[in-house]
Amino acid sequence: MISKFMAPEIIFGDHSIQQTGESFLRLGAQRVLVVSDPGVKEAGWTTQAVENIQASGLDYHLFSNISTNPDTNQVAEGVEAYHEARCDAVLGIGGGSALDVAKAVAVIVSNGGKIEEYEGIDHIHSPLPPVIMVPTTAGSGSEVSQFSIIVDPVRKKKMTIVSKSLVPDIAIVDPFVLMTKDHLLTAATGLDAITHGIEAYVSAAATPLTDVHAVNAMKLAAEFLRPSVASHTNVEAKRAMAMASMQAGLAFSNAILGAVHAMSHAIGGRYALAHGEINSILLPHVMEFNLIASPPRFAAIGDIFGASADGEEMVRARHGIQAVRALADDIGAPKTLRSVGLRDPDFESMARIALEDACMITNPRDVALKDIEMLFKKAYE
Amino acid sequence: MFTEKEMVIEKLTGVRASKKSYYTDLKATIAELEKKNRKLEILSEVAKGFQVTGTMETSLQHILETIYELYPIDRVSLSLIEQGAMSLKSVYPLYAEDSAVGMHLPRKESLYWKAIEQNMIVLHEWDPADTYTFVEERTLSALNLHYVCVIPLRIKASTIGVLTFAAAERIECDQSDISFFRQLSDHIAVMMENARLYQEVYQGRKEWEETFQAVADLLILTDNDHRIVRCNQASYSFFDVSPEAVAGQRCHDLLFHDTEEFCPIEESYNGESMKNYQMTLKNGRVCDIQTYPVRDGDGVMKGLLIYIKDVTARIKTEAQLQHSGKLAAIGEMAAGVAHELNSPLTAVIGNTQILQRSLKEEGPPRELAVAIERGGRRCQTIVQNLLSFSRPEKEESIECDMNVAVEDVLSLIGFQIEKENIVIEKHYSSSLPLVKASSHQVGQVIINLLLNAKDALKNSEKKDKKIKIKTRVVYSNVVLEVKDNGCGIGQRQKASVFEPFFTTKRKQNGTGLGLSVSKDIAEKNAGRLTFTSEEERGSTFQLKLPVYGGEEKYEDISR
Ligand SMILES: Nc1ncnc2c1ncn2[C@@H]1O[C@H](COP(=O)(O)OP(=O)(O)OP(=O)(O)O)[C@@H](O)[C@H]1O
Ligand SMILES: [Fe+2]
Ligand SMILES: [Mg+2]
Repeated sequence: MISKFMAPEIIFGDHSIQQTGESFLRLGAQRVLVVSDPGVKEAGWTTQAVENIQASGLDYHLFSNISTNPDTNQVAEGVEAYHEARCDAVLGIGGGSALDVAKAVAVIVSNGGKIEEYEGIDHIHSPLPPVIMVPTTAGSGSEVSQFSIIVDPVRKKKMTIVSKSLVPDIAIVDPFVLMTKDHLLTAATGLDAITHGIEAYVSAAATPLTDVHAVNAMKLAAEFLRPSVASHTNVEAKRAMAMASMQAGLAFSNAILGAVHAMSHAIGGRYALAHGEINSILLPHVMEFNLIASPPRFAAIGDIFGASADGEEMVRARHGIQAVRALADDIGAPKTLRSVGLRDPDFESMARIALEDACMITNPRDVALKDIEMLFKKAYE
Repeated sequence: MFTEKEMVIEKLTGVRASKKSYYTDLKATIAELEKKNRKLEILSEVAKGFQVTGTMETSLQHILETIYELYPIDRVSLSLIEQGAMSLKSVYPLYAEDSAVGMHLPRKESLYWKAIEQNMIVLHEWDPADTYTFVEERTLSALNLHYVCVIPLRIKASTIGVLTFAAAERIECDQSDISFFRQLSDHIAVMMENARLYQEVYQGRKEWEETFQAVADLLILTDNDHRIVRCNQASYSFFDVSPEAVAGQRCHDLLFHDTEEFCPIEESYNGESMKNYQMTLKNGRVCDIQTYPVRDGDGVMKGLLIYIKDVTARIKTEAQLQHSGKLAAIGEMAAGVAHELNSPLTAVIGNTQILQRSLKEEGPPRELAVAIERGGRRCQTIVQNLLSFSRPEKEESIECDMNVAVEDVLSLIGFQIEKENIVIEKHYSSSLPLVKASSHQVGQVIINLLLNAKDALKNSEKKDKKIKIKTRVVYSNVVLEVKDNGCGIGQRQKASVFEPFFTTKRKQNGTGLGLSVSKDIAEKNAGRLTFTSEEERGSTFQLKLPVYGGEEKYEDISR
C-alpha cells in the first residue's frame, strides 16, 4: 500500500507566538488579515500576535467576528475584509472555529466564488495566500490539518472541506497560550483531541506514520488531560496537551476520522454545541460499535488509557472503552446528548447526513443508516 | 462498492493530490497573460491592416489571416443593416460556390438577426443531417461549414450588422475568447465607422475641389507671403501656365507685368476685409479682382483668396457704346446742321443754275456763277458725308474702298489737321481692291488714327509736322499706314495703348477708348491693327484688312 503524510512547517515551544511576525516576513507577506475570535482577543493573545507582526514591519487588518461553529456568512465577511484592506496573507489565531474560518477565507480570496462550492474533497484549484495558524486551544488540530469545517446555515449542515491546500504553511504551537483557557474548554477540546487520536488510530486509512502520532497523542492526553483541566497554570500539562492536540491533528489529517466525527458534524449543523463535548458523548458508543473491526487496536487503546494491562484482546479493548469513559467523567464531561440540550432530535435525518459525511468513509466498521440511528439513540439516553 | 470506498479513501488521504503551488499557478497566469497579449497584438494588427480606402474583402482577408493562429476559421463574412434590412456585404474567401454575397437575410429565419436581436455573440453548431432552422445554415452547409460565430457590430448604441466566423468544426471558446470577439468586433465597428466618415469627408472634399475647378472664373489661393498655394483650372488656362510652374510663385508675378514693383494688391494682405479692384493683367485682360482673407481655426489670417473675373469683353462693349455715343452726339448735331444746310444749299445751287442760264454769254459773271455752283455742290458732298458718317446705314455695306474712306474722313477733319500746321501726305495705291468691311467702321478707325497722329504732333515743337497716309496691297490684304513724326510712344506705355481707358490725354478729355475700339473693329473684320513707335521720333500705325473675296485668292496663291 502506498501512503502519504502531509504536514506544515511546525514551530513548537514556549512563547513561540513571538515567531509570528518573522514567519510572515519569510513568507513574503506585507499585510496580514488576522482572523481571531473575541475570547482570544480578550485573553490578549491576538494583541501579542499583532504587535509581533507590526514589530516585523508588516501591516495587519483584524477580523474577529467569529463565533463557535462559524458559518458561511462569516467567511464571506472575512473575504470582504481581506479585499478591502488589501491583505496578502492570513493569520488564524484562536480555537478551531477561528482557524477554520481563516482557512476558508484564504480559499475564497484566491479561488473566488463561495465557500459552499468547495465542499467535499479536493475542489480547490488555486493556491492559497500564505497562511499561518496559531491554535489557542488544544483540540481541533486544524493548525496542521487539511480540513476546514464550516456551517451552512441554509442546509443546517457542517460542511467538510478537504484539500491538501488547506494545510497551512506554518503552524505555531505555543503551550503558553493554553493557560488562559477555562477548565470547561480545556476538557471539551482535550476530549476532541482524544477522539482525533482514537479515530485516526483505528481509521481504515491509518498508516505507520499516522500511528506514531496517534499513539503519542493518546498517551500524552491520557496522562495530562486531567492535570491540564485541573490547573490552568500547569505548564508541563499544557506542553503535553499542546503536543497531543497537534499530533492528533497530524494523525487524523492524514488517516482521516470515523463515525464519531461524521455524527458529530451532523449534530453540529443543527445545534450550536461544543464539538468536543458531543464527541466525548458519542465516542464510547462508537468505540463499542467499532470494536470488532480491530480488537488489537482497541486493546492497544485500552493499554494506553491505563486499563488493566493483562488479559485477552477483547477484554483489554472493553476496559479501554471504560477507561476513556472514566477520563471523560473525571473532567466533568456530559454523558448524554439529552443532557447537553438536544430538543426533539430528528435522528433519522441526522443519520442520513452523517452517512454522507467524508469522515464516515474511513470508519473501520461498515456503517448502515440504522446503525447510526441506533448509536444516536444510545448516546441520547 | 469496495473499490469505490478505496478510491474515496485515496482521495481523502491525498495520495494523488498535492497542495497547490504558486509556481504552477504563476505559470498558468503567465500563459494566460501571454495569450491575452497575443490577442491584444492581434487586435492592433487587425487595426493596422484595416484600410479605409481599400475594399472590404481585403480587410476581411486580413482579419481572417491575423486571427487564424488562434482560431482556425474558414470563412469570414460581413453583413450590414441598411434601412432596417440586412444583407450580406462581403465574404472572404469567396468561393465560386458561395452564393451568399448580396443575399438578403430575412428577419425571421436568420441566425444573424437573432444575434442582433439578443445583442449577444452567438456560437452556433448544427448537424447537416438535420433540417435547417436558419437560412445561414443552408448557405454554410453548402460550403461544408457547420459552425459559426456571429458577432454583432455595434457603434455607440446601435447595431450596424454582424461579423461572422465560420468553420468546418466547432471551435472551442471560453469567456476570454468571447470577450476577445467582443473587442475585435468593437474595433472593427469603429474602424468601419471611421472608414465611412473618411469617405464622407473625402467625398465632400472632392465635391468642393470639383466645384473649385469647375468655376469659370479664376481662383487663386496664396499664403501671407503672396506665394501661390493653389489655383483652379481656369487660372492655368487663363495664364497658359502649368500648375508646377505656378506653385510657389508670387501672385503679382503671375498676374501683373512688373516683378520689381510693389504688389498692386498688397493692400489686401494688410487689410482684414474683402477688397475690390479693376485692373489690367499681364496678358492685357481687364479683370475685376476680389480678394478675401483666408483665416485658420483661430481666426488668424493665413493667406488670401483671389477671385478674378475677366471683364475685358464687357468693358470693350461698354467702351464701344461710350465711343459711339460720343460720335453719335456729334453726329446728331452734324446731322441737324447738315439737314439745315441742305435746303439753303439746294436753293443756292438751283438759283446759281438759273443764274447761269440767264447769263448766256461767256464771261466773268458766268464763270463766277459756275464757281458758286461747284462750291455749292462740294458743300453738298461734305454734308452728305457727314450725314452718312454720323448715321450709319441700316444695312451695313460689307465692302469698302480704303482710298475713298480716307478721302471721306479727310473731307471732315482735314481742316482740323491742317489748322495745326500739319502737312498731310497721301500715297494712295491706284489699284486698290475693295476690303471686306463696312466703310462706316473703317472710317471710324481712320478718324481715330488721324486724330491720334494730330494730337501727337500738336504738342510737338517740330517744324515740319507731317502725317503720311499710305495705302497698298500686301498679299491678300490692304494695308493702310498712318505715319506721324510726333512725340512717339514711350517704352513703358507701349504695352498699354490698346487697353481700354488708357490715355495720356486726360487734360484734353481723352477717353482712352480710340485705339481699343479700333483694334476691336480690325480684329472683328479679320484684320489687324499694329504699330511701331519711337519716342520723340514718331509713330506708325498699320491697319491691315483682308481683300474682299481675297481668302480664295490667297488660297490660290498658296497652292
Ligand atoms: N500716333 C500716336 N503718337 C503718340 N501716341 C499715341 C499715338 N496714338 C495713340 N497714342 C497714345 O495712345 C493713347 C491711347 O490712344 P486712344 O486713341 O486709345 O485714346 P486717346 O486718344 O487718348 O483718347 P480719345 O481717342 O478718346 O481721344 C493716347 O492717349 C496716346 O498716349
Ligand atoms: Fe502679390
Ligand atoms: Mg485717340
